[in-house]
Amino acid sequence: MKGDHGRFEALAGAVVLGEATAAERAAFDVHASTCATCAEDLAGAPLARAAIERAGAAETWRPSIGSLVLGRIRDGRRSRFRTTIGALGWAVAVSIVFNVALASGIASRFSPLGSGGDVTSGQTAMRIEFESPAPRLRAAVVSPRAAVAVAPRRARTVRPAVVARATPRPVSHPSVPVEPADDAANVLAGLDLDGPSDAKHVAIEPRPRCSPAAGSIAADATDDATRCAQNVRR
Amino acid sequence: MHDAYVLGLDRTLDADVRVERLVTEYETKLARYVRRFVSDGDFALDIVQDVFFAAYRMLRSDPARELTAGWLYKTATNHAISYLRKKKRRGETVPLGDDAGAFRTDESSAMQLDLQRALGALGEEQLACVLLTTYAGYSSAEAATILGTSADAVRQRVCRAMRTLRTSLGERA
Repeated sequence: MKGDHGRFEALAGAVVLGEATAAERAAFDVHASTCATCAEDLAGAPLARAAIERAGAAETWRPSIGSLVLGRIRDGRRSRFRTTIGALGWAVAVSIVFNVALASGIASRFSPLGSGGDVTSGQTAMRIEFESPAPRLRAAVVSPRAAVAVAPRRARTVRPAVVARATPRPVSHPSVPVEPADDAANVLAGLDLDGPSDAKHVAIEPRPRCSPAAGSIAADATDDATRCAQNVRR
Repeated sequence: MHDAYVLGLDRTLDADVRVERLVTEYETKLARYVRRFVSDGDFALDIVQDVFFAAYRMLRSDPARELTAGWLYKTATNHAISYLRKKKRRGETVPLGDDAGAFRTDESSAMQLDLQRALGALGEEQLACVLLTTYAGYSSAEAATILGTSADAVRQRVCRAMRTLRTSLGERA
């Protein structure tokens, strides 16, 4: 019966709000004739509703919050604008610094092994080249009778190259013959190949002793000797 | 039908222009509704500001979205219910006679105060149903959409709320 009464409460609400159809109104009237609570609801609800409506009609309160809301919106917009401008400013500044560093060559100074170069020691000459992006040390021994050595350990990146480039070892006793193989070993020692490095491998490739260029020089020397002998004979 | 009027009709306008029109149209109605709900004028104004600002954020993020008066009342009702629950948790009460911000002098008649006290005695759901239907002028179906319930539930709550109000107001009603 409670569920039925709930249905009639909904009907009473519809009657109070003026939304009940004729059929609903008739059904509720039949129920209210036997239910004292619903009859009281039907009698008293319009009075309560009228009190609320009167209160609303008598209301003179006119708040003005437009300026507050719009001010808050403007503040939010200004804040977003400032954030955007700040981010753009930082991006431009970083870009300028980066470009200036590239243009002035500062960046190359921070290259771990420098830009390479030639190293000479006694009769041994080495050319050090670097490949980008992973710097790989490639040393080519161009002197005759150089030994081939592949260092299994990794070379230290910064110091050996600087040392090798800055202080080529002069031959202090030219009268003492220096073995090319020893020179190659000395150069390797100067590179300090014991330290760790990012280089993948260090390979020393011997250039062929009798290169075409050397052959042509020898031929020229033979020609000169022949010419001298002819001159002497004359 | 209130919701037939889609607020901020011209969607080519900026969100702030649309909200400005919205504020001009609805600030008084919404503020009065919320003030009846929370019995506090200052808090009502705060809540209404929050509602309009939420509308602005919504229009800015999705300009194509439809904004109805029902959305405004729904958001305001949710804010007001949250406020009342917080107040109840803290055990606070607003003495109506001393709350100068809630009602102006010309409204502070005994009847107004009695009515406000009687409304304050209602539960949040009954209060929302009564105010949306008898104060804001929505039908029970529209109020049901705003509150996320059925029209029959709204009518039932209105009937019970009226019974309580009749008892509270006594002879004045």
